[in-house]
This record gives sequence, structure tokens and C-alpha cells, in this order.
Amino acid sequence: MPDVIRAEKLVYSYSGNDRRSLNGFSLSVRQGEFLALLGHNGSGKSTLARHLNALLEVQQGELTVAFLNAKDPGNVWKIRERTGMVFQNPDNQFVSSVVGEDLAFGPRNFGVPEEEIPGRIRRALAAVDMSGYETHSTHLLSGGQKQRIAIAGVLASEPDILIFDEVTSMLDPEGRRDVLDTVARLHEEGKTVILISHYIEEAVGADRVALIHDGQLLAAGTPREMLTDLDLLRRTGLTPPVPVRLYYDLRSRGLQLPFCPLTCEELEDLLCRLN
Amino acid sequence: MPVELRKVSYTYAPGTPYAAPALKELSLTVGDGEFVGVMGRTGCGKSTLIQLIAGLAAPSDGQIFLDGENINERQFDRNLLRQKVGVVFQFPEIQLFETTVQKDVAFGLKYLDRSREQKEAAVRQALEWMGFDYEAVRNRSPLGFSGGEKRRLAIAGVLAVMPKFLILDEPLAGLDPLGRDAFLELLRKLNQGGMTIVMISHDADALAEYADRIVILKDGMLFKDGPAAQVFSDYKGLEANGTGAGQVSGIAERLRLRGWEIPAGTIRYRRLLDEIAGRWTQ
Repeated sequence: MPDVIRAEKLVYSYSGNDRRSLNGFSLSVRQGEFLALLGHNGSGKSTLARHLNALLEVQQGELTVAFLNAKDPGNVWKIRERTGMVFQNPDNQFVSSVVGEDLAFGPRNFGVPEEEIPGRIRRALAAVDMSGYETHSTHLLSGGQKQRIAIAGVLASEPDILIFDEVTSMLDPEGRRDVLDTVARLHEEGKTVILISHYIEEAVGADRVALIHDGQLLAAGTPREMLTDLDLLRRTGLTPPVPVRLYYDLRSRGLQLPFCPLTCEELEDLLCRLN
Repeated sequence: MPVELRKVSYTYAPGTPYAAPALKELSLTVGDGEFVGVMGRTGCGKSTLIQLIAGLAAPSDGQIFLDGENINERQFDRNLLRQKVGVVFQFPEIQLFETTVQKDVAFGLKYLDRSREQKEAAVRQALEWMGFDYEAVRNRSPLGFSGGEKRRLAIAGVLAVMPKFLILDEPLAGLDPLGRDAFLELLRKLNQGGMTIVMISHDADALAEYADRIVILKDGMLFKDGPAAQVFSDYKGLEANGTGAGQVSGIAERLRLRGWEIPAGTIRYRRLLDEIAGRWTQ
């Protein structure tokens, strides 16, 4: 698969701030890949995400998104149409109090013919498992539903690349599961997915995990390579998932499991095999 | 300085077709020095509860007492309420508005009867608690920080006033793991120093580790109220309610189902580790 996103040595500083939020960040993302991007607060995650949606202009370095050069001002709208972004707070993302109207906002602004819009809304709602909600009021939905409608709002513009910036942090566990299931399904359907998070457990199902620190790519690899490496996680400013922590703490007491589990289920299976 | 709710009800848009009851005859007392975790699904009435305790809305029915005084009586001194009860709302970072960090964090102290030196010391202390170097940040614009940093600045503004009773609505959402742990440790320290803490969170693992008592709301009513070890031991009940009991309780429960003798009340990481290690070496 070709690289749908290619960032090379990106540097970015917000005006009035000497600090470089991105400081030579390089990363490629393959088409159809599910990439989890992890880093602590202020590591540059959101700054990077805003570059991918052409919300921020490239100051230094090279960036292509959806095979388009992001430095060419003529590409800004094309990039925004190809990349959809969902944010943390579901309440801040609605432009209309009616679900259908909210979903129509994106395609209408991209100049999609009016007769195509109802079909797009229907498909977008089906994709997030909320068919039939066209006439519902956005403020009467639960947190997880709101976030799924926000995702549908992005899908209505039919982007190839989806960027989720800490989309689950305001949700209760059930809402979180719903949204993560939706994200996984969209990836299976062929979308390129970039999931930004610091809930390390959410990265377990990704194809690849990239760790960002001080505006630079610290490491990238499979979830198992990245999330079981204590030293690497510590340098990224993250704490290991509970099963990984248990593995190492047991080991320091002289109790060695055959390998380091990544999920609770793996841990429980390993422990039960001992008995 | 206990806070007591007596049969408190609250209905949004009463008398209209949109009338939505958020709390129904809720009775609850939070005593001095407690660390209470409040959980519940989206829409269960958690945030309404905070607004009522903070006096930002008055109950449709029932009374709320602070130190034995009804906070919704005419003669009640609201300034006292504002000084004693600090509230960290969801997304407090949107409340940052001053031109410098120093001014923003000091805003709550503006009309309090304290000397200039006392105010500066309070601002310095609050910023250091939240992990900032006072001298390095005091003259910067609060808007030039990252999302998580802004969150910590906004919380510093609440702590600068040193409320006796601190309520927090989802303060952990959006904090990274180290920031989360550091913040929870700070809350523990403030609590040990005598501050009463009521924290709303979906993070069952954090509440299991830090709160003494857990209150779970459901449809505007009490669903559970008790010591953390007892409430989180009902793993199935909490999962069925959609609140969840956290990863540690989950591992303990599933190991139990598979024949391990993990005692009820194993809700904290250290205890789980000890139990597993103990069973293993037998």
C-alpha cells in the first residue's frame, strides 16, 4: 500500500511561543492503516493532527496528505475534504441542533449537490450504527451517541482518512466501547485511521503504534513492541497497561510468565495455565 | 463542614413538554475530610448535583445544607459558599481569560481579604502543586499552553482559594497518565490536609485507588453508596449498569471465576499483585 500521509521533518511553533511544538517530526502512514499515536500532554499530538487536516500551515519540512502536497495553498480544501477529524468534546462539534442538518453541513460546504446529501446522511448514520436518527435533537443524545454523530458528521463528507483526537476521554465505559467499536469497523471498511490517545489500552488493537515526544517521533512499531517496552513508555511519559505492569512487577518478585501479556485476557490465560 | 442534601429533586424545564427530571428525592451527606468518588452513566444527574451544591441552581424540591445552614435561604451568605466550596467544572480550560497566568490564577482571590503577599504566595503554591515553575510561567499568556496544561492552570485557579470542600467534574479526562497520577496524588495530599473532596469520574481504577467512598447515581437516584472496596466488589452489578468497576476489579473477578481464590474487596493494584503473587508461590 502506498503512503497516504508522509511527514518529513515538520517543525511548528505557535505564534508568540519560542517552543517548538513539532521539532523535526517524520512519519509515514500507509493507506488503510490503523495507526495509534500516543504521547503525553503537550507532546505535539494535536499540533500534528491539525497539520493533517490543513488547519495549520506547514512552517518547515514536507507534508503530503492524501497524496497532496499540503504546502500548496491550492490543496487546502481538497485535503480537508479527504481527511475528517473528530475531537474530544462531543458538545463542541455540532453546528445544528438537529442530527440530519448537522450531518448535511460538511457535504453542503464542500459543494456536494443537494440531491446527493440525504443518501450520504443515511450511509453515514448506518456506518456509526445510528440509522433513523435524522430528526433527533443533538443535545438529547448520550455522550457516546453524540460522539458517534460527530463521527457521522465527518463521514458524510466521505473522507479517506479519519483522525480521532482523544474522542473517548469524555465518555463513560459503555460509550467508549461503542465509539471504539465504530472506529475499528471504519478501519475494517478500508478507511485510514489515526487514533490519538493517551489511553494506552486503546492502542492495543491498532496495526501500528507511534510514540511522539517533544515534537519528535520517538519510536513506531507493533502494539506489542511499543506497549510492553517499559523504558520506551517511561521516556514517552506514559504508564504501561495494567497487564504489562503486572507482568513486570511479578517478574521483579521472581515470578516469570512465559511472555508479556498485552491485554487482560492474555494475562488471565497465562496465569490460569500456571494453575 | 459537612454538606447535606435532603430529598433534593431537580427538574429541567418544569411545566413544559420538555420537562426532564435530573434528580429525584436524593438524600446524601458528605462529612468533613471524606474523599468521595461519584460515578454514573452520562445523563444520570452527576453534573446537576454539582450545580446544586455549588449553589448555581436551586433544587426544585428539598434542601441543601452547608455546615447546617440552608444555602438557598435568603439570609444565607453566598460569599461564604464561594469561599468554602471550590468547583472544577468539566473542561475548566475554557474559563481561562486573563492576559497572564499570574492574573488568571489570582482571579478568585481578587475580592478576598488577604494581603498582596498572601495572594502571591497562594498563586505560587497552587501553580507549583499543578506542576508548573511559577517564575517561568507567571507572565505567559494562559492561552499559549497545550490542552492538558491549560486544564492544570485552570485547576490552579480553583486551588489558589484553598476551598474546604472541593468538587471536581471529570478532572481526569484529557490528562495523560503521568499527569493523571500526579494530580490524584495531589488530591490525596490535599485530602490528608483536611480538604473534603468529591470527584466525579468515569475512571473506576482511579476512584478505586484513591476514593474512600463511592456514590453511584442512576436516573437521578442513589444506585450505590458505600466504602469503595464494597461498591467495586459488585463487579457484575456495575458492569450491567454501564459504569464499570475498573481493570483491577475485572481481572480479580475473572480470575475468581476461573478458580483463583482472590478475596472480595481486591480493587487496588497493589493488593491484586500481592494476591496473584501469593497464590502463585503456594
